Amino acid sequence: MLSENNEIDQLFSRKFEHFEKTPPAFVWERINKRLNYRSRFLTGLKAVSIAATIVMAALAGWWVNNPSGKPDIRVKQAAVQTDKNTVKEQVANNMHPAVSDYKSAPENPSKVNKKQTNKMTLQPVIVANTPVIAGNGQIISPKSGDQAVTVPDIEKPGYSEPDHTGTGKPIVQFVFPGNTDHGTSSVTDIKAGVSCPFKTISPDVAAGVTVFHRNQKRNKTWSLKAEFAPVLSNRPQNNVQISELNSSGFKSGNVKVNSENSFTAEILAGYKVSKRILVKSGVAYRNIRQTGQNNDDNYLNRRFEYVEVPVQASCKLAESRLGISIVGGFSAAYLIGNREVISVNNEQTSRGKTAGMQSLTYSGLLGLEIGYDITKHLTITVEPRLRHDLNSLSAFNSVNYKADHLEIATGLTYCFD
Amino acid sequence: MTNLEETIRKCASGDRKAQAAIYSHFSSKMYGVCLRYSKDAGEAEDNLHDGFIRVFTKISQFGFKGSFEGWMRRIMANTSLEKFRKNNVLYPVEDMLIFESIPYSEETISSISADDLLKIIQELPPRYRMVFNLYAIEGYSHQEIAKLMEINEGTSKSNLSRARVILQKKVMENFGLEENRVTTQLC
Repeated sequence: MLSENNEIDQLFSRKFEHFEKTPPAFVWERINKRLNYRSRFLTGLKAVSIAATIVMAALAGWWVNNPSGKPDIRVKQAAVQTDKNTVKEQVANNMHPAVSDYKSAPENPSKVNKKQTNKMTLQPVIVANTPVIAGNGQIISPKSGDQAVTVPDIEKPGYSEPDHTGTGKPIVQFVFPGNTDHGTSSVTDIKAGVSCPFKTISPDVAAGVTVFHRNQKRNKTWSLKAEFAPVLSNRPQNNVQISELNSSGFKSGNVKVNSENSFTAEILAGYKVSKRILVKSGVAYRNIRQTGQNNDDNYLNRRFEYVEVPVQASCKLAESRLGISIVGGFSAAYLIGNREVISVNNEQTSRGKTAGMQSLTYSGLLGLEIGYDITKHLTITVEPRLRHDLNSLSAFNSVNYKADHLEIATGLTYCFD
Repeated sequence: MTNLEETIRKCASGDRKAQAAIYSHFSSKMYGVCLRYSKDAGEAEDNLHDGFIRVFTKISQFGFKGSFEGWMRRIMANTSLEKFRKNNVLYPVEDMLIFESIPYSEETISSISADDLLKIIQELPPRYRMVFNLYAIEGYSHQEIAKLMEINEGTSKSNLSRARVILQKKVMENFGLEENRVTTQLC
């Protein structure tokens, strides 16, 4: 009997209690395909994560050892005072007075250093004519023909400034008179970490010590880029069935939906891994617009908004004031905006969202970047590029919507020292 | 399936044969669930596909505390509900018929097949179909339905009531019974 409402509930409940129906075989094929894809994707993601971790760790290590970002040679003088057996460090632009004894010093030492250290060589600049004793008691005396003694790994008392050398240690040179060749010899048996690494024997203040803070970072390694690009998308979506729009006055039937011009804006941080290769990543905003029209001249407007994380690499093909690079990469885009508006007789009504949009989509891009150095730090770039969606924008299996986009990006890049 | 628990554990570790076995064993039942929540077979197939992907992705979260089949049914229902929420489509407002039913005989009831009722339930407006399925067949309360569908309880009750009316009318029409009294209401 169905005399009460709950009895119709019971009728359906009873009939559906053990209801089964065999699904079509292609459903499992699709599931299987998706699981294979997912498995490959996860494997790839793991590999990329491991590689990225290794690269980041290597970069971090390199960065820690080279924090200032450019070749930076600073010359400091340290005077060794025999009466107190301590080392006092002086920072000076000019040479220590003791140096003046060395008449054959060819030119101003600071100039020599900067010039020569750019070539990553060490040259004697400070003259001392007195033997010194290292912390372990070893006497370092000038030998005939020696121009300098390089003492690595010395920790000087009272010197608390962090080291900025390529190896994290100061390089101390003792230069002895009577030589004109300005070569360098090393003493390797002096241990690091001694509290009073050296002292002079001579009662006079006689030793001059030059500490080279050598930095080996490449010039303009890091950069920041902001760019904007109008986007032309070519993939029209034909015959969208919008019969559900009846209630809003939009006639049912097939509607041809075309992609409209849209735009993307992004901020990228770049890291120069070699002379020619630059790796970039950051965040981007992308806007996609579509418009459909039915036979009654009524419109359907779609707006999709994405936040993207692009990862790009560029290889410089030509390096001059006008640089040309080839750019490739991919990006993961997360859907943050989805709305549809229908326009009937010029009256707009919000229709909610487009059904079944993928929340995460991937795309690959290839382009050519042309850059012009406006100033030492600032470069203006124009980058025509093609972007292809790697997966369908729709989550429905029946809809395979992968668009191609042409983007003409214009941007400004600031290179840090 | 000889040892479901072992198959589930293998599934959780990504064993493709175990996944195929799970699908083979449960797909018919789950397709039945999806059909009830969908407007047609195409939508049900999409929901079945998405539901099974979710099952295989989240199977490691199944704690073996209740029925695995029940857990899968909830996933299928949730997948269908999420699809419904995402679509958020406007559907035509119909003139609704309010009528009093007349008694059915047990003989008539037993002659109605599940396939017949499936066709009727698929013709319901989406929200009514969801609420009726959740309340009448799955046994959810209005409070739970309101939370699941992001509507208020009053709407859930009202949708259920209207779904029942439509279903009653269609059952009568389809199985040769005359309506006793009919009034029209615009909702």
